Amino acid sequence: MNDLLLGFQFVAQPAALAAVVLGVVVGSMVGVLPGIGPLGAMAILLPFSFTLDPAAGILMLAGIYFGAMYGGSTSSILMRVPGEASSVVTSLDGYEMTKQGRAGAALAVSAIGSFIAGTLAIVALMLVAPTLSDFATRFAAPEYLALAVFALFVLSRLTGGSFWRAMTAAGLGLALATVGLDEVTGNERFTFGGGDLILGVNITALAVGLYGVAEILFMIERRGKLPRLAKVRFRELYPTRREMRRAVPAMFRGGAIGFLLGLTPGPSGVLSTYASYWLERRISKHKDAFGKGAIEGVAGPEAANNGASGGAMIPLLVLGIPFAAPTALLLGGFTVHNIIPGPLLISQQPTLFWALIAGMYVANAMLLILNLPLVGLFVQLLRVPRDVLVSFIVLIAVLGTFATRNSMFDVIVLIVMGVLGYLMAKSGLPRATLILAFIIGPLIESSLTQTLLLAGGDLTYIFSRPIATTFLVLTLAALVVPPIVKLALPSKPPQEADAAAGRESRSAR
Amino acid sequence: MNRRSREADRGARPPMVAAGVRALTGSADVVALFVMLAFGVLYLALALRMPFGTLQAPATGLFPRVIAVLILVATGLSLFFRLVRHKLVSAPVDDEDPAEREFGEAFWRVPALIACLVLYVGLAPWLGHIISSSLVSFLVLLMLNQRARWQMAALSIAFGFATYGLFHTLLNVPLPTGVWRP
Repeated sequence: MNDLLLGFQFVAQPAALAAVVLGVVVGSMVGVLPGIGPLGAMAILLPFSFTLDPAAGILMLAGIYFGAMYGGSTSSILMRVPGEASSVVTSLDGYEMTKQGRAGAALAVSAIGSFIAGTLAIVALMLVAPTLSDFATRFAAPEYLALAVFALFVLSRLTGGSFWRAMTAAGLGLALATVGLDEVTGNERFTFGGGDLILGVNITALAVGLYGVAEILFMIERRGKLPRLAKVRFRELYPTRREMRRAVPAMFRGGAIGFLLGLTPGPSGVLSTYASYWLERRISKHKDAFGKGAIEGVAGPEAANNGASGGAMIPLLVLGIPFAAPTALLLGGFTVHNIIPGPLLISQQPTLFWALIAGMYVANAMLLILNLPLVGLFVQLLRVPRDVLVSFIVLIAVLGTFATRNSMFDVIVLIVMGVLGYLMAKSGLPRATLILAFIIGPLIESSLTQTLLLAGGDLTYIFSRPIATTFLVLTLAALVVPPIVKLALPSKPPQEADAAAGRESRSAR
Repeated sequence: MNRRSREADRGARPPMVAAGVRALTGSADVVALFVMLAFGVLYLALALRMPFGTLQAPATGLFPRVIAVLILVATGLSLFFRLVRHKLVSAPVDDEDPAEREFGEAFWRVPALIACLVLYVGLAPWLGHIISSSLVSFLVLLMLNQRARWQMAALSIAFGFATYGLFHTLLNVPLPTGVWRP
């Protein structure tokens, strides 16, 4: 508790508080913009945090993270244009509420649910992190190798497309991470005679290109206009007592589901929203209302999404391994600030760790306090003409990337990554796996090298380590069990399968 | 007929273009996998030129070789399932929007925007940030063609100065000044 109070004292300083608030507001504003989405928002805004000192920079990153995740739900509710996949479920009932003139209530419930779930997730993080971190100090190179392999393989399995395509993307990410100087030996690799490639591929250029520029390219290749916007007045923001009675339990249930799923590798945000929606529909006394403006259909998934965001911070902060694309971006940001999350973060940099926890509380509270009154501003942002938006954001993306190392080479990498991200989406190769592999590639390599050195070249040594073996067994189970289950289950006749797929895709729209 | 209705009229694709886009969308994944296969071969060839060391004392080339094998195996199996077993990736990747799989009707804007960005990289060291970014913004607005030319020019110049103010003045980022050095 003392440590947390010291953390709050740090965050209460004007510069730190301003960094959190700015991160939340700007993250929400950019996350709201349709076509950009939370991941694009985080990628584009990452470079701004680098202009601050490390402590303020990571607080701003935390604000951007929570703000961007929340922002994606606003366009989902008001326009049925989800910012990303985890906002799709919110749009099912959220937009229906908007059509019924209850947009304000939907937004308010979304904000309150996000706040409750986020707060619970941060409390759990605070309680679990020190114990888990003590446990993780027993991790050595073999354990990190097994854990990193677990994260990569399980994410590839869970991305929803083909596992082998995800592994192809992972291989590409790992390959990009080898460009530059070998961390272990200091030798140059794939630098083709030196020059700018010695510095390696810049994480900012990669992330902003892969998500930011690629999203812009998706936006401009379509001529469609944005749907009409609902008007939301501040006085209409309050849900009724009846709506809150139904929403609050859904918020707690969703938050719990989201937090637990956030601890696992994979697109936990998306999975948690679908899991929460399914649960709420199963147990609700108003089943028929789902799909027609059921408030539980907004409260549960939104809480689950934010709960997953909080839960995902545990493997990132305590183990130093991101389990999904948003936390991979966060880890990239931490690395640029020379902050290495992991089991030693709490013991070696307690001020920073507890300041980050306190910053997350503050960011969560700011989401509620600021975003409801500012909803009118967000609605105006949604009216910004597409051409103005594209032109300005492209410039911001270029300059933000340039600013990290004052290098025009990074801008070239940005352009290449933008094209790559665009082509990957067209060809069904997941960008999330690439970026995760890029981020943890150096960890995998150093762990592999150290394990081989420890084991005298005998890789079976890893099976003499119980924790590492457990991770490898879990990896194998995650790879092997789903196809076996699929083979064992009776397959539906083609017409039935098509009809089910059709119903699913219509309800997802 | 004003600019906006001309834009709307251009929304429907001619049949040949539509067929071409469908073919492109349907084969994009196969092309990408072959490109990845070629990349894997190239990467392996470069990795083989690095010292492997031994398993007891691994050198620079060990991890790249592992990655190359991963890429070749993963890409090979992906191609096998796609071409031989005809298993299309029908389920969307979870954090991606399924609509992004299809090429849009204004697909020509994609290489055009990329060309604008390349133009900025080429011009900024000579003309400086303000002029280069204003020019590039103008070209982007022209490409999207949603307002009068004078509005595009005014917005472009505003963006050039606004971004200079934000990054150079506020954030102390030394932007290219080109020939306009004091």
